[in-house]
Amino acid sequence: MTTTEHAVELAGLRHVFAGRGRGRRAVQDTEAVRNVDLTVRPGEFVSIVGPSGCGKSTILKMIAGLLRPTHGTVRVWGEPVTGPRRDIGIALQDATLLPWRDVMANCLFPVELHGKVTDAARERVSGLLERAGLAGFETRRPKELSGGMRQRVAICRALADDPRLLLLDEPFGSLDALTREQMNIDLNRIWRETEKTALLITHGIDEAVLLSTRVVILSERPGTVVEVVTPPFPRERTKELMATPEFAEVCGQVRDRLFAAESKVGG
Amino acid sequence: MTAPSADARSVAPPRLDGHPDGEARSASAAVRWGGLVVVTAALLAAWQILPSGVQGDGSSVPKLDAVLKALGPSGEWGEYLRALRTTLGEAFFGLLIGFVAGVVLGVLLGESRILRQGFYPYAVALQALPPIALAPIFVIWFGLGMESKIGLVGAATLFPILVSTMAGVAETDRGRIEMATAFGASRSQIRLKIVFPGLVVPIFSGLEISVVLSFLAAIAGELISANAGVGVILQVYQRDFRLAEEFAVLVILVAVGLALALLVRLARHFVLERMPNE
Amino acid sequence: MSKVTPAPDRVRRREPAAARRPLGTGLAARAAFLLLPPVVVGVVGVLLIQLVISRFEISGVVIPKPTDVFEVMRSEIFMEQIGESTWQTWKATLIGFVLGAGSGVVLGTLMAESRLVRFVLYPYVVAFQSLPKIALAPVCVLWLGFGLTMKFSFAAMLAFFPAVIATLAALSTVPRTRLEMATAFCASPRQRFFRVSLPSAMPGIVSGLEISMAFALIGAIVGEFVAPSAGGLGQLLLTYSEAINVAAEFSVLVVLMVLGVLQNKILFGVVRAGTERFFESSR
Repeated sequence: MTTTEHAVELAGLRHVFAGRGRGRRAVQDTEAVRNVDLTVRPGEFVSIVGPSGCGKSTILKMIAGLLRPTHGTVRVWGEPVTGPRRDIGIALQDATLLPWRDVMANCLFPVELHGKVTDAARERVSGLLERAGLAGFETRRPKELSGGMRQRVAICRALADDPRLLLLDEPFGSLDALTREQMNIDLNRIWRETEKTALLITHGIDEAVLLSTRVVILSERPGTVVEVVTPPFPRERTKELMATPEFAEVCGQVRDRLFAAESKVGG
Repeated sequence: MTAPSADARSVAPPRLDGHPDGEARSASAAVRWGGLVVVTAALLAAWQILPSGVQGDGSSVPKLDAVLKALGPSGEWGEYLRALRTTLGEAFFGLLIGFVAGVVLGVLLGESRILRQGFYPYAVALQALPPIALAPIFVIWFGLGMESKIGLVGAATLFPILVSTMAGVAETDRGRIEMATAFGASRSQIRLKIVFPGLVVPIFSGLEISVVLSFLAAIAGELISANAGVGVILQVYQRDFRLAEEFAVLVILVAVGLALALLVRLARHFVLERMPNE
Repeated sequence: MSKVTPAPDRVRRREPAAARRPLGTGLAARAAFLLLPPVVVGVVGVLLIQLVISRFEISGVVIPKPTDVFEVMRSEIFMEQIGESTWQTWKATLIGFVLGAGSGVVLGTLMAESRLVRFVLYPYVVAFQSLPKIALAPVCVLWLGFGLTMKFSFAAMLAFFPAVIATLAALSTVPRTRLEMATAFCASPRQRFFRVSLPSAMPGIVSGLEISMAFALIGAIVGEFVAPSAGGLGQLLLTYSEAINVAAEFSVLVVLMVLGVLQNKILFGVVRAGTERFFESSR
């Protein structure tokens, strides 16, 4: 092992979902992910894009310690993953806020689980909420919020216990295009200001290019890495960037690779 | 670093035990079946060994072998079956009455908003009245025979069917009605082709509750006053301390209850297949 | 439902002043609109029954005149008897509910949380559930006698199964993503149960308890029917039935109906509305 510590290191990763039952109703074994090798360096923002059902979420769940790989290894900060880690913050497609808690209590949920609710933690969460444009909403319940606001709360919750690594599984997948764009700009700012390492799963090409320092393209199921694209932009991303020909070019490049990956497997 | 082998995933590592996917201390099939067999064997053994037999005091529980004997060919099958026929007959005819009345009233109340508003509070209040409390009145009206139990079953099964029918009429998908109206359907056409077909599934879910209730209400009615039926022989066996027969009847009731549940389930499968709700 | 909720930061709608009616008349009109039909139905119904019975001289054994029922309810003897009997019935109902529903929730939780317990107990729960439990009343009398113990035990038995089934169902339909989220944040199984599963299941458990309570009342009354000298409303019904005093029987039924409405609709209506509001049933 080298001394340089990777945030995430996937080596020869493979996952097969076991089939169930016998006879007519049998569900066959499905190979979700095959031979995925990937490293994420500290401070990076890496996106994984791929056609739906290519095992993107499976990879994320294995990093989060929710699933065990069938083969291969997952290391986070150099240690093999054996289960959920406290230094990982996660936000999923469904905001999964607890409806009986207000915004503040929802954000403090992980902190509370780790037994560390202090005034300092509250202050940190207040700061996060402010940065996410949610100042003044601390005592609101999730049902009083719009879909976009709920997702922002979910991201604040992911960051609440000051994790070193942020995992995002299509957190904006269910939002309309306009809200989504605004969220992406906000997320970019939060990422820069908190200096986290982030891994995003998405099927939005624009989103991946806009947010990432590297875009990893996955093939159809069983998912495997076909290409890595590095958008040549500074860390600060803006709406104006999206209108530039350079941005369109990178997006086109990613799109071509994606289509190539699909037809290769399909044919 | 050796890669974990494929079969390692069936055994959850300690820190993953919280994962909903590989459910906690997930017992293997062998352990589960073993547990079931052991528990069942222990229960049956306890049933055979612990009871001191029927002694006429309050602690009477018949031994397992006595109950099995009462369920065997030498048991009182003539009596059991006669009682069961009476009770099931009462349940069936009562359910028939409750069903017809429930559907008719449900459609009427569902169709008319003003009627619904006028009668609904009373329907709710009557529903809160335990139907079994009506038994003594039905006995006064119809005597000790099957009729009083049929009446009681009818009263008990009416409400679930009425309420679900009414809800079905009132909650007919507006989009479908608008669609039919747009195609120029008349009111009666809408009723016949949109509203009524949509009632099959809600009526059936009311019927499911009512089937269980009908059996229960018939037995309850017989316990209170009757001259034949399961409720009667249960009380006779209890009074005469023929507890083996008493328990045998209870076991038969479990079997009949399971059969009814199975029947309802098959019927639901059939109904949902022909009349999908969505 | 949640889809309709507007974003507070973006949509700030206010009804135009002209569209807002003065609060008082709006409320009064609404109340009148809601109350008028049932009141009309009630008054017309009672008058009609009274008229038909006196006109066609129908015997009081078939249907008592509403005035006769009122007469009975006003009498002093009835008031005395009904107060005592109602309390006896409700006492048995309440004790039975607490014992039966309480143990039902515990068993339902054990079955939901442990696959082994669920697998082993499931056949027994199904078997007992398909037994019309009313049929156990004679055996209960034999074992427990004619008193309060028998009544509340029988009530508890009827209250038990709805609580087991509702708890099991509610805990096994907790949104999977919520559990996954908690697990990802390193929640221990205990934390996950108390902070996620149980609160998520609360609305479902409460509606199960509502059914349990209705069954407990049925159990108490059936207990009183089958056990002579058990007291309570069931006993009172039987006494009047033997005396062929149908007007008095109807009076008891009215009281029982009021008890049922208070307990099943009002009390649980409030509790359920409260839990659903607080825990946000996902239905």
